[in-house]
Amino acid sequence: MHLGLTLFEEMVFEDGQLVNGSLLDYQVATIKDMPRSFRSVVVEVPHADGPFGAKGAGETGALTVAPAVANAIEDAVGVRIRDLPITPEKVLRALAEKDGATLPRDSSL
Amino acid sequence: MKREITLNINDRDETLVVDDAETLLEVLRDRLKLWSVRESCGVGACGSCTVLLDGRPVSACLLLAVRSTGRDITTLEGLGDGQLLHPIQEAFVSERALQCAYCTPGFVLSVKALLDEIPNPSDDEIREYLSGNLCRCAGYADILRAVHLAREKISRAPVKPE
Amino acid sequence: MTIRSFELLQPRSLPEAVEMLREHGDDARPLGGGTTLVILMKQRAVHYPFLVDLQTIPGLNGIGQESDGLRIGALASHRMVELSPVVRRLLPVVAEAFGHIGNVRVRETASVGGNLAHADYRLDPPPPLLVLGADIGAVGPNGSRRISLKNFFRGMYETALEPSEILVDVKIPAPPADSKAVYLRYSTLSANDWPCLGVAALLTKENGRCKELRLALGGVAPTPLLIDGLEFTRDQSLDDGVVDKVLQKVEEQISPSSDLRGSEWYKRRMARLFVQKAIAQLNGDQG
Ligand SMILES: Cc1cc2nc3c(=O)[nH]c(=O)nc-3n(C[C@H](O)[C@H](O)[C@H](O)COP(=O)(O)OP(=O)(O)OC[C@H]3O[C@@H](n4cnc5c(N)ncnc54)[C@H](O)[C@@H]3O)c2cc1C
Ligand code: FES
Ligand code: FES
Repeated sequence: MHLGLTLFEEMVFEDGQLVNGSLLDYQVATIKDMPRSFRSVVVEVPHADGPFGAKGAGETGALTVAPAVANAIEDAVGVRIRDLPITPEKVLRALAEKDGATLPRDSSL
Repeated sequence: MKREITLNINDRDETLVVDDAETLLEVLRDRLKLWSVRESCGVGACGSCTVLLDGRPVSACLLLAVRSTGRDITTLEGLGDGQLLHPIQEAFVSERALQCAYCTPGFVLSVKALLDEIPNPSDDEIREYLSGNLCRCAGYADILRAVHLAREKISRAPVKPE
Repeated sequence: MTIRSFELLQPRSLPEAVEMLREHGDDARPLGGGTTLVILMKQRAVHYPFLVDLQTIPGLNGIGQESDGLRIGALASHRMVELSPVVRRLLPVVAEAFGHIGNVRVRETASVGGNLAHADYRLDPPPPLLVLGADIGAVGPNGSRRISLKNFFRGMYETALEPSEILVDVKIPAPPADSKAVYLRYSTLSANDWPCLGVAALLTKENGRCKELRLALGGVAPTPLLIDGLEFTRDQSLDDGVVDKVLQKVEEQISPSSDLRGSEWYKRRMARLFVQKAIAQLNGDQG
């Protein structure tokens, strides 16, 4: 859940035109991208406005994947990526910039 | 160009007139109303149009129907016997390996091909084989369990004549 | 997505197919597995009034060992190569490269000839085939000829095939004794995405030193690229200094362009990294 959006999914536009509008180019997570083990932890916090403290199920929990991945990357290599998807290139650029490098910007990123 | 062809689908011969430009997906779904065969990406990437051609998984969206003559075509409709579910389908049900079920026919047929080819697959082999079937509800963990359950069910089942 | 009407011609022999292509000229294209052509026709990026079905010609999908190497028929599917016992035994790197393509359904359908003739710059099979010194057989109105793969790719989606010429097989010579090959493929998006780049290396060693090093890269130039000018590695031990010079050669010859799978800057970095990895893997392997 949310792994695709965290790591790969992005609609790329050039001159107002969507350039990755097919599943050949817009990549979603496959069964091979799935982590080898899943552990769900339920954190119970009642919702102030919901009936009996209830809140929507499903996607609420999904929002935690991106911060978890971003935090793990910062913990491992000391750079924080603030926009999704978190691609390997973004991490490498952030690392190079942290070391003081000035890098060519690229429109397709 | 139009021509009359005979396709062997789920062990039955279907004779119909098709245009050379029609894909197998269009013929199975739009003409023969085999609704398990579904279009999503149309470019071979998602697996929702998976059918078996002589037992091997292919994307019906990429095949021209006229080139499928003389081959055995299996869709999900041909998997069970019309009454009972196939063990792979049963496994998907008991492991709740589906939510919206759009991807499920494609997954079930891919699992059939996988288990025919590798009767005792490892997790890595399953992941590799199924990596071209996309599930947007992302029941991948459940699907992985369903494959293992299906494998057990099939290896326990008495061998039936086909 | 529907395809504009066309006529599928179904020849029974190669000469018949060549004649059909010649007769219809620009109005006709050969059809292999169709995994690329069907998509392009659905997207209406191309239209041909006639397609010549190569699958109806008998005998074009064999895979076999010959005295001078391995021969793979143009209509062999990617899956046949991936699973072929003789390819896996003699040239595991080739089986692996075909086994990495897309997904199992595409590999069941796509043909070896269609892959090479499509000449996409990112394809997986060309780099290993280039380092192995493969050549292809083509049959056309003027007879048959062999083209070395290194002269086959002419530009983005462009090959040395003449119009009405059909690619009939790929021949891969037996690799030199005491050589090892690897193909490293790197994708930046999902696990079965097209590669961002691919690096193939073949290293032959003699008395612990390099006798010959060959490198080929995909995804970092308009065509798959065999790196030139690596003769200086002969009789050297592949230490950091020599590897640096190899990397310099690679950097001079690649010309990556930015796309969805990485910027030019990133691809240059990754090309260096994966060439280093490939060499280290081959060098370490043989001690
Ligand atoms: C979902 C998906 C994912 C993919 N992922 C990858 C990947 O990761 N790596 C990779 O390398 N490739 C990938 N591909 C591309 C795939 O390898 C090609 O589509 C395939 O190799 C084309 O082979 P084909 O036989 O289907 O060609 P066709 O579609 O039949 O033909 C392709 C072109 O070659 C010509 N042609 C075909 N056969 C011959 C012949 N014998 N002689 C002369 N001309 C011929 C045709 O006229 C056409 O122009 C992917 C494709 C899809 C659909
Ligand atoms: S619709 Fe055929 S693979 Fe997606
Ligand atoms: S169950 Fe909804 S796409 Fe798989």
